[in-house]
Amino acid sequence: MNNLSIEIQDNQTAFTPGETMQGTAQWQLDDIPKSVTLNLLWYTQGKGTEDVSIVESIHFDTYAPTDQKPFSITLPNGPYSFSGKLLSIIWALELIVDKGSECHRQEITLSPTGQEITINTSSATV
Amino acid sequence: MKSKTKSHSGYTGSKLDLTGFHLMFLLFSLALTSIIGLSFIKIFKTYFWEKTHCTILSCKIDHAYKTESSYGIDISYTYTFNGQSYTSDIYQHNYQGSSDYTEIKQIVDQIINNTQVNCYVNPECPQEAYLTRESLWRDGSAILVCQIFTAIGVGGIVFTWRKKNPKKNESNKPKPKSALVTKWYMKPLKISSQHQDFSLNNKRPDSIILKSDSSAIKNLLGGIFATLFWNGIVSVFLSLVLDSFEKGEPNWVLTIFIIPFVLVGLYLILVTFYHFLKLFNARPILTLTPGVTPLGTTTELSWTFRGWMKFIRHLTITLSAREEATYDQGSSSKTDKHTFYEMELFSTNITSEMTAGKVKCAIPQDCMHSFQAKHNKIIWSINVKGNIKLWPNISSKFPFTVLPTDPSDDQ
Repeated sequence: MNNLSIEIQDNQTAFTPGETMQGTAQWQLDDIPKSVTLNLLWYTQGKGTEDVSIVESIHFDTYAPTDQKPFSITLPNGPYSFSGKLLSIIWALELIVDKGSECHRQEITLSPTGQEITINTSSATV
Repeated sequence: MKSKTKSHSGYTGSKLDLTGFHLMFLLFSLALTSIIGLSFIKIFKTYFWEKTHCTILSCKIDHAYKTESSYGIDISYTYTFNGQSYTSDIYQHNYQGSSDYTEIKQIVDQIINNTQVNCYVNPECPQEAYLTRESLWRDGSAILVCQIFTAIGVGGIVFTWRKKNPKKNESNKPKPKSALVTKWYMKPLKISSQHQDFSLNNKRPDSIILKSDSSAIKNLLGGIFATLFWNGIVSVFLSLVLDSFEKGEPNWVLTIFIIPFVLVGLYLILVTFYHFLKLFNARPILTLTPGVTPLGTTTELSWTFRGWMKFIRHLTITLSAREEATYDQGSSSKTDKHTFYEMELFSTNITSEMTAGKVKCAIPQDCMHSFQAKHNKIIWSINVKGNIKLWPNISSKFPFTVLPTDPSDDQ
């Protein structure tokens, strides 16, 4: 039974631009992994075709089926987590084993307020 | 975190719409191909008729051939086929005559002066004979042009139904998270190309001249190209319709079929003319100072116009932000737009105030900054609208980049 997890320090899920995120990537696998990678990425959801961008990748050097590795990532200035009428921008951390045979995803929020930007919160005068 | 899923129930409906649209092309093409094809086959068959010596009984110019303004050939000739003698007065199958007198005279003189004249006799019906055979070129090329419509019709229907609905597949079968991640992971180069620079430490220009997202000349050239292409094709069939009316044997099936295509052609001409008139509109020149605008800051917008301002009745300048989402629909892609922020910066009816001016432009703090990926965008723009009576209005959008909030401002 394979088990992957990402633990972020203080179980924090909301971050401000430029903030450093620290945590631990853990895995319990049946076999020895060829590669284990932690990606910080954003992707879009909504009416449009999905766009994805991996912002940072950390490759763990490991040959142990069970292991845990600390990580530290400084978040970029943007894009902010966003929820609109046509599109949403979602940030996530993903732990990937052997190029996708196993993976775990943890969504996070990136914005100055700690909450995703929504159209309703903006001072729109449409 | 909440999950966000959007409804795509209109997908099948749009497929049917597209199929109907392409089916129109296909039916139009099939009908035309059938009509022209029958004529082509008839001409083609004459190339297997037997060449037989004939004797000209009479040959002269017909001064009122089919219409009063055209000349034809009034001919009579006799020939012998399988031991039997026949007479024919047909110069050529479906001969239309000519408005050029010299051309007809040359043909008549050639026939009279030629001692060895041959005609082409239908072996299955020897009473039927032509002095010359019609060229296959005209009907052949018309059939080939028809196949453009066939290709559009068939290709459109095939692409519409061959393309899978990815959203539908996603919702129908539960997919392990890894599948989605694998897709991203296996295309690292494509993904990295979508990076957008949100760095606030880059060089900040003092001011920036904004560029309009549309060009009057490009729109005009596009209109001219579309008009020439569409009307060029339609004109081939229009000439067949006009020919049929000239002969006094109107082809009503073809006439009714071609009406919507002619109307589209006329619409394209009007659109092109509209873009031509827009070329003479005054062009706004906008400058933002400073040239970099993070959320929550205020920038100064100044404007001038190049061109004739006299007839502008009302000028409005607005700040707006919109979402744009591009997705595949059938064989083409479609972009949906939604404006989520709009603020009027300036509005006047006074001409002297329109020509040049400055206004403060505050970018809201709690809004979304500019974002540009391959299929999804958040675009901030300054929109200039000028109403002109009895003339195309000025309507230009000037996109500019709004950056995320500068974290150093909080310190």
